[in-house]
Amino acid sequence: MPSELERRLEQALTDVPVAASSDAHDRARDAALAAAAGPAPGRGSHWRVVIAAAVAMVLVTAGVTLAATGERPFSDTATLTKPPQAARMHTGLPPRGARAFSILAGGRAWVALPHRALLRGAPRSAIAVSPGAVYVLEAHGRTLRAVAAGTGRVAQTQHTAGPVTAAVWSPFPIRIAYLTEVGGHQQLHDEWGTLSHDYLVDRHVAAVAPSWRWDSLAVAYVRADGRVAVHNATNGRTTVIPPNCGLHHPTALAFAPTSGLLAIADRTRLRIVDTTGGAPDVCAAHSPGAPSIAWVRPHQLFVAAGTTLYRYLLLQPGLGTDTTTVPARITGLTASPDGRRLALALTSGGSTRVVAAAAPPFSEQATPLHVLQLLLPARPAAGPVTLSWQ
Amino acid sequence: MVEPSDGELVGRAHRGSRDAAATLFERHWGGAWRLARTVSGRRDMADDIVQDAFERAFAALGRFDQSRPFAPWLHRIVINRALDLLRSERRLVGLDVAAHPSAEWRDVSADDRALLEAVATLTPQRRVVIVLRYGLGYSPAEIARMLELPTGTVNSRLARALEDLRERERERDAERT
Repeated sequence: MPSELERRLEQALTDVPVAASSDAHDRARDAALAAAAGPAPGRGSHWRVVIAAAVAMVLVTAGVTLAATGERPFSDTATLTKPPQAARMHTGLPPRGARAFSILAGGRAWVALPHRALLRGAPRSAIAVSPGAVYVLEAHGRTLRAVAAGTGRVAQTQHTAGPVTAAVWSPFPIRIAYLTEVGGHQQLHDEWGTLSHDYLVDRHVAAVAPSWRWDSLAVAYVRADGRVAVHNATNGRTTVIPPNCGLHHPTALAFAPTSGLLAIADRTRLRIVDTTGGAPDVCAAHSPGAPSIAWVRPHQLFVAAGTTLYRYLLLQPGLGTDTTTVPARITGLTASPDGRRLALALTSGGSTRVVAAAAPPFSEQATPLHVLQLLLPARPAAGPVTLSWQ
Repeated sequence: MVEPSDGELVGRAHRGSRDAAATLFERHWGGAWRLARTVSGRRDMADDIVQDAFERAFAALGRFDQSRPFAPWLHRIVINRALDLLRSERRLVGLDVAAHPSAEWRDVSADDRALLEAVATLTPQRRVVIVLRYGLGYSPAEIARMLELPTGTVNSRLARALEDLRERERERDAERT
C-alpha cells in the first residue's frame, strides 16, 4: 500500500513537463540518426583497423608530430571512432557528415562539399558557407559573390566599397554581415542574403569577424575603440555593451546557439555577457594568445588560445573549466553543428595544418585530443585561420 | 494499424532505416528527457544528457538484445550519463548544483515544486532510484537489474530516500510554524 508521500511522488514525477526547446530536440534527433547510420559492427571493426593505419601514415607523412604534453596530452596515435570514406582521406576534405567545410588561411580558400571540392586554395579574402550549405559567399578584392554550392553557379555578384575582409551569414540564411576596408578603416555592413539592401552599420570597426545572434535579428561586432556593440537589424539601433572583466580590444566574439549569451575574448581574458537577459557576467582568464571561440551547446563553449583548448560549462552560478594542451598554436577553431567534433588549425614553425577531432569531454581522467581526420596538410601560413563547418 | 514494437524498430534502424530510427527516437525522447531532468535537477543539463545518451544508444543498436525491452536499456544509459556529468561538475567547481534547485522547477505546480526541490537535494544514487520507482514505475527488481545492484540494495536506497524526504518535509513544516 503506497504511502501518501509515495502517491505525491508519483504524481509530481510523472507530471514533470518535457520543457526542452525544439532546437534541443532537433539536435538530439539529428545526432541520434547520424549515430544510427553508422556502419555495421563487423565491417566497421575491420575498416577501423585499416583506416587507423592509413590516418597514422597520412599524419606522419604530413609531418604531424603528436607528442604528449601538458595535463591533457595530445594523442600520439590517431583514434577513429568511425571510419570515414577512404576517398575523403585523399582530398582531406570535408569532415565526415559535413554538408560543407571551408578554410581560409593565408589569403587562400578551400571549400569542400561531400562529393567534390568547390575551391582548392584559390585566392580569396573572405569565405562563408551559408547554413545548410546552399550558398557559398566568397570575396576577392572588391567583389563579393554568392555561389550556389550544388551547381557552382554564381547566383549574385556585388561590388563593395573596398576589399572585403570578413563575411558572416546569419543563422537563418537571410542576412549577411561583412567587413570592408575603406580609407584605412574597417566598415561593418549588413545586407540581405541576395546581396542587396546594403546598409552601413558602422564606419569604424575593428578587424574582428562579427557574430549573428541565433534569431538572426542582431549582430555583435567590435568597434574601433575596442567596445563591443550589438546592432539590431530590424530597428537599426545599436547598443554598446559596457566594459567588464578587464577586456581590452577583443579579437573574437561569438553568440551562443540559442540565446543572447555573447562570448567575448581578448588575448588573455574571456567574458560571457547576457545581451538579452539579466544574468551576471562570467569572467575567466586564458593563456596568452589570439583566441578562437566555438559554442558546442547552449551553455558550453570551447576557447582556443595559444596551445591550450579550454572547454567551459556555464553553471548556475559559476563556470566549469577543463583544458587540453596541444603541441602547436591553435590558430583557428570551429565546431560541427551537433557540437560533437571540432576542427582546429594548428600552426608551428610557420606552417599550418587543419584537423578534425572529437570534442574533448569533461572527464575525471586526462583525455587526449583524438584526431579523426587530417583536413588540410601542412602548408605555409602563419596568421589566423577561419574555419566553417556546416 | 499495429504499431511496430521497439524490437522491430531497433532491428530496422540497425539495418539502415532512418524512418525506424526516427520513430524510435520520437517514442522515447520525452521519457528520456524527463528522466534526465529529474535525475540531474536541471533543464539545460537534461538537453546534453539526452543527446549524449541517444547518440550512444543508437551507435550501439547492434549490441542491443532485441528480445529485451528497449526503454530500460536507454534509461540506464541516460542515468549513467547524468551521473557522469554531475560528478564532473562537482569536480570542476566543487559546487553542489542541487543546492540551487528552486529556479529549475518554476514550470510545475506549487505543490509539486516543493517535493521536486526536496528530491533534488537527495544524493544522486538515492535520487535515481526514487525517479525510476515513482517517475517511471519500475519495480525494485527491475531497477536492480537496470543498475546491476542487489534488490536489497535498491530497497534500502528507496527506504532511506523516502526517510530523507520525510525529514525534509518535517523541517519545512517546522520552518512554517
